[in-house]
Amino acid sequence: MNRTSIKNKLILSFLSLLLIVMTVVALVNFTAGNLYLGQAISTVFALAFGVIFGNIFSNSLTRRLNSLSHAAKKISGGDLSQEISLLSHDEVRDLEEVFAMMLGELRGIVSDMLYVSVEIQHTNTRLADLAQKVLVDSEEIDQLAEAIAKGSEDQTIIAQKTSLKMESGLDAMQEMVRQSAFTVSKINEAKLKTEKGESNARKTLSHLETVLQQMIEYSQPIYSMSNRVEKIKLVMNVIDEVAQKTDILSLNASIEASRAGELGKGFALVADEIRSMAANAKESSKQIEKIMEEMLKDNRAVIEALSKSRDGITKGREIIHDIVDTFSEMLSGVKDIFSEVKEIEQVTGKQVNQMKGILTHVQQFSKLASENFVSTQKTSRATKNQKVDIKAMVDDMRSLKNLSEKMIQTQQRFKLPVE
Amino acid sequence: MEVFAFRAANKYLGIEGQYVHRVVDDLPIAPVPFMPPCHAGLIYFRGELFDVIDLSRFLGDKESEISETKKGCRVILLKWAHRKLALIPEEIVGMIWIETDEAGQTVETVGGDSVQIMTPDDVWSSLTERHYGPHQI
Repeated sequence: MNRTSIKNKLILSFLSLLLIVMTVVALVNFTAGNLYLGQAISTVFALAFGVIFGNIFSNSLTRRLNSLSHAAKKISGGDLSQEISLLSHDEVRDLEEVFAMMLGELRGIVSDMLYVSVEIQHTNTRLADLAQKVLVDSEEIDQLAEAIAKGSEDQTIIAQKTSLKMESGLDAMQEMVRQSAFTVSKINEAKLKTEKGESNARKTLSHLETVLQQMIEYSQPIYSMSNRVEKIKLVMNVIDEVAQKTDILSLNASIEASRAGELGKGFALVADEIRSMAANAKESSKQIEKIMEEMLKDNRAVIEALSKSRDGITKGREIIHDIVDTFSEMLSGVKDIFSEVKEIEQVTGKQVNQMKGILTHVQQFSKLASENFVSTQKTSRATKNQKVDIKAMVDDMRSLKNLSEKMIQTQQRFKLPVE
Repeated sequence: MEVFAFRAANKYLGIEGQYVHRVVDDLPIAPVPFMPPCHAGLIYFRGELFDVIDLSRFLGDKESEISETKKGCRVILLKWAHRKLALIPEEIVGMIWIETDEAGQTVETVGGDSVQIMTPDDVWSSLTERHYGPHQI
C-alpha cells in the first residue's frame, strides 16, 4: 500500500476544500448571481467543510496517537501483551512501527531476562545445593584432614619408634654377627678338641685292651690260690675232727682216771694235758680256719673285684667304644654345626646389610611422614579456611537467590502475550 | 669230791664222777613217741640203750639251740644201779674237784661260778613225774 504523508494529506484536504469552496461559489454565483453572496455562502461552506475536515483529520490523528499512548501506558505498567495495530499510512505509521518494534524488542528482552532470571535462580539453587554439599564435604574433608593429620602424627611416631627399634635390632644383629664369629672360632676349637678326644679315646681303648689282657694273666694265680685254700680247709677239718676226738678221748680218760681213784690221778693229769692240747689244737684249728675263711673271703672279694674289674673293663671298653663312636658323631655334628653356624654368620651379615637398607628406607619414610604430618596440618588449616570461605559463599548464594527471586518478582510485573 | 661239770639252761651243773660212764658224740638219737618233751630219744652205745634227756628242756629252757638241732652235740652217759641215762648239756666243762660230799648243794668254784650238784636219781625221779602221752599243740 502506498503511504501518504500528513503534509500531503493536508495539501490534498486543503485543495479538496478549496475545490469544494470554488464549486460552491461557482454554483451560488450561477444560481444567485450575487458575488458577495456566493462568496459568503462559499466562505460559510468553506468554514463548515474546514471544520469538518479538521475534526476528521485531527480525530483520525488523535485516535491513533491516543491508541499508541494507551498502549504506551499499559506497556509502562508492564503489560507487554498489547498489540500495536499498523493502520496508518502516514508518519504515524512510522511511529506505530517503531513502537511495535520497540514492544517486540522489549518483549524479547523481558522474555530473555525472565528466562535468564529463572536460569539464574535454578543455577543459584543448584549452586546453593552444591555449595551446601561442598560445605558438608568440606566439613568431612576437614574431619578427614584432622584424622589424616592425627594418623600422620601417629605414623611419624611409629616410624620413629620403628626406626629406633630397628637401630637397636641392627645393633643386636651386629652383636649376633660378632657372637656368630666368636661361636665359629669356638666351634673350630671344639672340632680340634673333639678330634684330639677321639684320638685319645682310641689310645685309651688300646691301653684298656692291654690292661684287660694283663689282668686276666695276673688273676690266674689268685684262682689257683683259692683252690689251694679250699684244700687247706679240708685238711683243717680233719685236724679239727682229730682235736674233737682227742678232747672226748681226754674227757673219757679223765672219767676213767677218776673212777680209778688215787691210782688214776697221774693219768688224770695226762688226760687233762691231752685235753688242753686238744683244746689248743682246736683253738688253733679254729683260728686257722678263721684265717682261711678270711683268706677265702679276701680271695673271693679279690676274685669278685677282678670279675667286677673285668666286667667294668669290658663295660669300659664298650663305653670307650661308644665314646669313640660318640666322638666320631660329635665330630661329624661339630662339623655340621660349624658349617651351619658359618652359614648363619653369612646370612646374618646379609640380614644386617638388608636391615641397614631397610633402616635407611624407614628413616626416609619417617622424614616423609614428618613432612606429611606438616602438610596435613597445613591441609587441615586450609580446609578450615575453605570451610569458612564456603560458608561465606553459601551466604552470598543465599543473598543472590534473594536477588534473583526479587528480579523474577519484578519481571513478573511484565505481562507477555500468550503464545 | 670229783664232779663232772657241765652247763645247761644258763647255769653250771655237776654230777658226781662215779656216775659218769662215758662222753660220746655224733651218735644217732632215735626219737620215742609219747614221751615228755625233754626226752630226746634213745641212743645205742656198745650194746646198751640210754634214755637221752635234753637238759635245757628238762630244766625249763624250751628254746635251747642244742635241743632243736641235737646234731654234733656231746652226750654224757650215766650208769648207776642198773639204770642208764644220757644227758645233753650245752657245754661240757670236765672233771673238777670241789670241797663237799653232799648232793643238792650249790657250791662256789675257783673260777667264781656257782655249780649245782645233782644226782642221777634226782633226774630219774623228776622224769617219772613228767607228762607222758600225745603232746599238746
